[in-house]
Amino acid sequence: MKVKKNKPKVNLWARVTNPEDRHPFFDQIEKLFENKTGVAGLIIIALFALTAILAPAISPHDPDENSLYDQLKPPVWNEGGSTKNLLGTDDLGRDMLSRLIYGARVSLTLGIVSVGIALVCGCILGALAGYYKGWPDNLIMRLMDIILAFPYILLAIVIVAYLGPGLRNAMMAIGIINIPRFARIIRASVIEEYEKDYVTAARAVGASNRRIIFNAIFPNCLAPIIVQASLGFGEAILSGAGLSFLGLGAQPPLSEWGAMIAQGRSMILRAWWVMTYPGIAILLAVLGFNLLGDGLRDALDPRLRD
Amino acid sequence: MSVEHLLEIRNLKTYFDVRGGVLKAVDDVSFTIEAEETLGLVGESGCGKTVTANSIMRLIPIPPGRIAGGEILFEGTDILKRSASGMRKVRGNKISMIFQEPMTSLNPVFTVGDQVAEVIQLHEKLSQREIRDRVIEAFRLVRIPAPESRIKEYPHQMSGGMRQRVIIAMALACHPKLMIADEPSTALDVTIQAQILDLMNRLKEETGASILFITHDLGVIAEMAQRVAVMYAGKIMEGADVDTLFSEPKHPYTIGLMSSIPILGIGKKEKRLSTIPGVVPSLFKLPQGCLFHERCSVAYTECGQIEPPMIDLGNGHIVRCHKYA
Amino acid sequence: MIGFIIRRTLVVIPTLLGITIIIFTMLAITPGDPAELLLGERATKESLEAMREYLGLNKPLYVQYGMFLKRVAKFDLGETIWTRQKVYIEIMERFPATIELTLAAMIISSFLGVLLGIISATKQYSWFDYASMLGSLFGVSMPVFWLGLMLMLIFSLSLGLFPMSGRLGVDTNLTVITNLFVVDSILTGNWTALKDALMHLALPAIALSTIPLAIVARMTRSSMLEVLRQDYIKTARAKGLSEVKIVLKHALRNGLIPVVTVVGLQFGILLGGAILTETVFAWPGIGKWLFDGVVKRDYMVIQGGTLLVATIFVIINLIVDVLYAIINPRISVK
Repeated sequence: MKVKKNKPKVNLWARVTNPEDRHPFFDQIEKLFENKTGVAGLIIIALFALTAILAPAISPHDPDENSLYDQLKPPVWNEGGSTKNLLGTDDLGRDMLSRLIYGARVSLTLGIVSVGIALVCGCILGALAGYYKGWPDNLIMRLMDIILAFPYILLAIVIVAYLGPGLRNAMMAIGIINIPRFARIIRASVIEEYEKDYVTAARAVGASNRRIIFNAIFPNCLAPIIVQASLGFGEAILSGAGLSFLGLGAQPPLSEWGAMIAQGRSMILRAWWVMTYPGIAILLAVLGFNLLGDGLRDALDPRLRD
Repeated sequence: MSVEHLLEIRNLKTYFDVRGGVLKAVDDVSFTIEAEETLGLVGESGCGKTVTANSIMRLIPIPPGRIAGGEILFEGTDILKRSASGMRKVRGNKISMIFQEPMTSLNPVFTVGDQVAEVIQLHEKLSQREIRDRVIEAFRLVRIPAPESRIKEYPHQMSGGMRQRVIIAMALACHPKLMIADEPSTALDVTIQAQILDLMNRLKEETGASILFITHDLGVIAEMAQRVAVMYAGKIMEGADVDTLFSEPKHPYTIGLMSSIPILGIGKKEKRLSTIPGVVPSLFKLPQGCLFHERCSVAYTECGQIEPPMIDLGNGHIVRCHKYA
Repeated sequence: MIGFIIRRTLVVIPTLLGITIIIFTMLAITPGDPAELLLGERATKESLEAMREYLGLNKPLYVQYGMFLKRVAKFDLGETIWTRQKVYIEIMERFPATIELTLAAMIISSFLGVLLGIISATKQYSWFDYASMLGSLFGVSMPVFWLGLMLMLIFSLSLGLFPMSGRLGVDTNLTVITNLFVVDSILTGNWTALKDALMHLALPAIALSTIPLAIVARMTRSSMLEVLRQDYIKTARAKGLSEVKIVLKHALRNGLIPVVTVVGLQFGILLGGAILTETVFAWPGIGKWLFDGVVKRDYMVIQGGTLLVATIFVIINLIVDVLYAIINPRISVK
């Protein structure tokens, strides 16, 4: 005999907007938007991402186009500048503004790949360490300690030194050195959540370990991960720029901001703009991620939750 | 001829300027405390008891708070008019205060002995030797065993009850005339609670200090206080000596509080716990007229329009209610 | 407490071993003949053969690793490709320069950072607070090498206030004792040299200190804010203590505890940042030496330098952990 189930009609929109019904997730999103620093960061990042994605469309010139004619032209508001090259040109006559815009692409890629690597590997390792405890925990954490035993950029430099320079190796290196941070966060969260009743309930029902970790525990650990991802993105950009500055990351003629600074260094007196603007670009981009990370941290901090 | 009260609060108004408006946390509160007596200040959370205590000590954060009016006469002088440094000489010295959370009220990086010594050092000119002796004496006063060794301990090495004793020792070290106790036993286990309350009563006799005892627990008030004042939403609703208040409460709010105390056994079978309907009004949206009228079972039209004055029923019993006008 | 220190020290050993394993592995997995890599292209056949013997390349890997460990224990880090000098000696020559720079940066960042943090916390929401927090945010967002270059551009090249690079002017004479020029000039009473050394030290130290300064300031501020909210601060006020006394005695003692950890850990950032800063300002320290080695593929240099820096870092962390345990009574007094 079929049992008739009376499903009440659920108004989806009310689920999102009605303060009593809505999922706490949306409360946090609302809190985020009330936080001014977070919003400012979000705007900057959005601009950054758009610039990167729409580069071919908004860039006034081809970033790799040499022009012997226009070498070392100053920005438009200086004497000798022209509207053809709003921010001036470098020693090969390439337009600074275009190179900066395309540089956003490189940095965005670098950020996504390295934070991606760090996040995925770190989360898996941290979750395993926190969930299974015992010797996996010891082993993994010792490994993390060893990575952390190297001062930040040093390990990246060493890895790139041995594997050879290039953007790809740089992204890998930066990814690797950031794994411990994510691993630690997830591990701490997993350990904390493990004690909670819903995990015990899941195990009592017979859920597989993998299911428990990914379906049950993970969603509750997202908050600090998201914060770290945002802050880590900014740091990745800084590290990438540092490596490129040293010649170990992006190779010419790739227009990466750090590499551009290195290039501009030799012209520091003749053409200060070649060196200055890429740095400002880095500053703004990283600032955006830091603002967002701070804003997220304030909004998602469980202690501040009412 | 007026007998000089130890503490006389006249028409105290403490307001807070916040984004939603003006919070009248304490609105025209008056009471007195005599020498060597315990006055109980009773009320629900948020009724203004703690703000009153903080106002006496002038520990209200000045933006956004402000003392909007009234006088606080301690031993005859208005301490609201004292300078900041003058007030500091009063705190911990003539008037001291202990708080609700013994677990977190002591600085974790200093020994308990140092922390008690600090208050003595601040207010009296004594040698190191003398201070140390005073500290040990204070520890003995609050019945902490083996004081000489315990003064070297850190707060985290002590239990909650012990810490509260240290805090009381700290409050009494300079022999104050008045000690304000803001829910001192609420955060403790029931058995420890009893010990601490018993201690406080004995200390009052031994040191001759008066106590302003703030709590929401009527049972505790019955044990500790000689006179009681009942506060609600920033105003005093009723005041009387403790026996009268419990046997003949007059204000509907007090009556409601008394009847919501569950009584074990003795004849009251199958009776539902009575409650006071409604909730405490938000300080942003205080009702017109009597602050309690919306929850009052015997209110009439006048109650919703005109604020009731304080009525003296004789024998030190005062009520703020139209019923007795 | 002693037990804690011993245990914590013992943990260092596997970490150090792990570092040596990684460094050893890196060379082992690099494509190419290790002997050639270590000796460079211009090596003679005989020296290549000798190197292969020396490294034990024909022996199994774990034996090679054992030999490597033994060499490290004896401080035998080989010779550089370019100058054929002992790596160990080159490190000792350059190390003081890096120490001088790192210490100067740490002093600036710690004192200034803590000061800014305390003032911001006690005057929360004032313009000072907003300004310094905004400044900190900018500080952690900018690349240190760019900052160094900008400082050089503005203060050195345009305004001519500071020298551009190096540790001392060409004309300055200084008897070298510790190889820490500031210290040496004070020890020998050579005031012109002192001024010269300080002028050269200024810009790189400021550049290097910026990120740690920002971090310390924010950390101090949030820690102090947290502490000032605590109940025991209320108690202190009720005792009649003045605000100044409360902040300096009760609050600071608690608020600085987490900051100590952060300050200690700055070392890691400083050592890493030193590489970039030294390169920008041509400061002859370990950082620049290591970087030059990377560029020239001088693997002996890379090995030796990395080993040194990582080891120092681990030891610093150990010291910081022990210090933290000492100043926090909750851990030290059981």
